Amino acid sequence: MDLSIFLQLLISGILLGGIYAMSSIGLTLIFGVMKIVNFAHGEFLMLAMYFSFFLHHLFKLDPYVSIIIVAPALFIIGIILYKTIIRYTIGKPILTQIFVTLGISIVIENLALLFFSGDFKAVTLDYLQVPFFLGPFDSIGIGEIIINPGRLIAFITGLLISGAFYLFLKFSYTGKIIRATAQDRTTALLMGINIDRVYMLTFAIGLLLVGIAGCLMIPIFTVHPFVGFEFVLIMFVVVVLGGLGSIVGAVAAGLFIGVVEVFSSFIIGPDSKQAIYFIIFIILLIIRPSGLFGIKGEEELERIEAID
Amino acid sequence: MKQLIKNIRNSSHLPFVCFFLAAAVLPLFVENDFYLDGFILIFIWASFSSAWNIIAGFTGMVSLGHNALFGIGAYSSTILLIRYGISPWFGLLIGGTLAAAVGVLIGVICFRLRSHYFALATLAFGEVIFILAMNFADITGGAEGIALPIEPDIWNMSFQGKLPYVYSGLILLMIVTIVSSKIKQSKLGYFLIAFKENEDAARMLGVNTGRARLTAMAISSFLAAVTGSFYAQYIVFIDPSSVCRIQLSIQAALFAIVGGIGTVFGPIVGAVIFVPITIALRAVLGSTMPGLHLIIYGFILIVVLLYMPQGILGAAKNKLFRISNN
Amino acid sequence: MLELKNIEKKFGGNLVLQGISFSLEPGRITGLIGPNGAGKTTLFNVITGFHKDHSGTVIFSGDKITGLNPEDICKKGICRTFQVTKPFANITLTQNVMIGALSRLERIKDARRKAQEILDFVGLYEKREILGRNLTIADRKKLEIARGLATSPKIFLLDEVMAGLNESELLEMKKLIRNIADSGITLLIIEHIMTVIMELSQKVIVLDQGKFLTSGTPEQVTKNPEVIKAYLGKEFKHA
Ligand SMILES: Nc1ncnc2c1ncn2[C@@H]1O[C@H](COP(=O)(O)OP(=O)(O)OP(=O)(O)O)[C@@H](O)[C@H]1O
Ligand SMILES: [Mg+2]
Repeated sequence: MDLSIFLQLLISGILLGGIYAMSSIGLTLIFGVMKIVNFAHGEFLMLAMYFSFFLHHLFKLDPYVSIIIVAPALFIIGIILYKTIIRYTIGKPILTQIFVTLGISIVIENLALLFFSGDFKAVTLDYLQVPFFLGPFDSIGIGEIIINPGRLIAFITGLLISGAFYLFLKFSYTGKIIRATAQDRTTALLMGINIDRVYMLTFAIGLLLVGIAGCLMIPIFTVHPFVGFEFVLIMFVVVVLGGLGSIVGAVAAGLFIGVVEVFSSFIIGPDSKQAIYFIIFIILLIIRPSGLFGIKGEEELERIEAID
Repeated sequence: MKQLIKNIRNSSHLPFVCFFLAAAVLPLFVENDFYLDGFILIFIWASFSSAWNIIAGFTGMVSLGHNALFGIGAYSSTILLIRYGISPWFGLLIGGTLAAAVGVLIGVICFRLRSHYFALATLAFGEVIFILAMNFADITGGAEGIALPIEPDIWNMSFQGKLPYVYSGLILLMIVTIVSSKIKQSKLGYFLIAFKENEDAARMLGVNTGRARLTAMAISSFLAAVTGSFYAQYIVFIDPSSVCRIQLSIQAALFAIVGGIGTVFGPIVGAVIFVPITIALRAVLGSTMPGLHLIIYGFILIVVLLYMPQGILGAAKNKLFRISNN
Repeated sequence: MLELKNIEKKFGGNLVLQGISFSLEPGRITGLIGPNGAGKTTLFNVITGFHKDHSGTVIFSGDKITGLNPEDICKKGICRTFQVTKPFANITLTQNVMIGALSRLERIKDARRKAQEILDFVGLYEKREILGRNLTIADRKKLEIARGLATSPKIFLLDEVMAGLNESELLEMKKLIRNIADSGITLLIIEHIMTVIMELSQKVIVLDQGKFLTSGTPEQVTKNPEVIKAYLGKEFKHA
């Protein structure tokens, strides 16, 4: 492979991966703290994309500006859903958790179909239409590398937000409480932490994050009622690869998956690219279920605790 | 015969003996193909949901990849018929066996994973099969799908009119139900419950939980695939999104959960409720309000899981239990 | 009959069992005591195959059983109860015990008969149709025992089956344990209540902080100053 092409693919892959990473952070947070797989996460992304689309379509609001409306809106949806449904699934059998969130995803998906129709919708921003170029670097034999501005913005903003959120979890009081709850629910409870509130906040923050992701993605991807399912599968791969609940892991895994996707669609064609990362996913589950970056044995924690 | 009398005496089976009798007799008086189609679809989706229930309901391992097993059945018998002229009567057995082998492979790989991970792994597996079916167009016809021959020919499992499909569908459902009920009452059934309730305790009592689950998975996969073959024969057209998509697994779960997960007859109850509603809603609102029925189902799923987690049969049983205890 | 050789088990860097060796003689009741966290339950987990990443060997009737799975160890004739009871919550007591019985029997009918005999033996026959989740502590402990007995063990390991029982339940449990021993099953029992151990067991093994401290008759052990120190040092309320 030509070095220019290689670099081009690598950069495209990293940019794409940044987007995957950012959209997965909310999911990994919810997974890590509440031990719930949120199968509806893709639909929240889809909702955010629609919100941002309509704000642009109806009020000419720039999608990047629409974050200040869409993110809080998803936060509130998160609180409402937590209060009405999610809180009742905590500690319930796995079947309940899976199919309740799947039920939510079915409802949202088909509401979108009902109200927004099955048409593909996109936001085209004039100022993003001109790609810019790196290079050429003739001296080392590298030609021009094309960079898509929308993806670059999503990538940079996504990384900044992931970083900010990481710092929030690490250093803020609320962040510490969330982490304490994630680590040991019983002890957190004994220390007087209001678990129910922490979960509500976690769920809402998870949605807020995916809300931001939706706004950053609408200038690049088209939205339709079933877009959530496409993305949630990638998000699951990213989250498991990164280790459940690990922000840094999700970012690293997101980048990895982005690069894998771009290279595999270049090499074996775009149709099979998804199969590739699902196969990676399955192999990973076999050899290291706790994720590349997770703590080994995490997936079997339940088991160790189970034996007194 | 003795068994039958015993079953009838055992009152909890009575409604289902009645169900099967009604299902056998009623179609004879129905002339309208539209309604007969309803019967056939009830039998097919009840069979598939029962097959899913054997692994997910009996053991608590939530599979989100059964759509792939259904698809393996549908594609196996169809491809064998079209390319090699092999009768679907054999094709469905071959497809079933292949699916059972695949199911065991999934089990060997994924059974050591805990709960969430198992669901995600099977989901990913289902997607891989879906993508393969889409992309290996030489074999599967890709997104365009494959049409099956429609001239009636018993050897090709292709019949004149709907009635033969009604009865073969009914026989399929009876077989699935009998298998499911036999498992439940057998040593295997006890082992599966033991695993579901508490794996450590089960193992200490000598239950080889791995082998029990693999057996259940093989049977469940086989039956799912056979149902897929029959579906292909009835619809005479298959493509990845009609026989491999994840929605099939979710639908199987919906029927089983609402009817009563882990019970033998729950999936049938679910199918009897939902299939006619779906057909009716599609006929009435089809084009004007696409997906409205799914919105309703999503709500029902959530409400049942939160407020009636044992489903209709579980709730009914509890009530009977209470009455008989008073 | 059961022989442990130099068992060592770590959790992370934490050495929880070190150099444990002893053997059980057939047909006897042996007590296993030690302060909280001494490693008693961990030792049960090692013997019954729940922990595999340990060193040392476990020999049962001349066969090495180290590394076998719990289900295989059960088949060989060793069963145990769990300190934190694990009833099958959503099925009846009869069905709970039948699952144990099915490890030896093929037919459901036979298993049901055996289960009912055993439920009668432990005094749960009246409650046989109750669901596993609706039991008192004492009954949960009895159910643990009943299920274990249903597997026809040669050696039965009991992990604190008396903890949390009141006076009369305690009396009943002691009688039950004696009856089990009289039926020829070798017992190894973990117990904190010293008087019970004194009454029941012919031999006592003491663990402290993962180490074998001493063993002997109940009288010898209770007089041993090291044992007294181990208990009084931390958990004198049990002494
Ligand atoms: N799964 C585990 N992971 C890490 N450490 C463990 C685990 N299980 C036990 N331990 C540690 O091993 C030590 C021994 O525990 P064990 O449960 O065997 O004690 P015990 O003698 O049974 O105590 P008790 O009388 O309280 O039941 C303790 O320090 C405990 O914290
Ligand atoms: Mg203990």
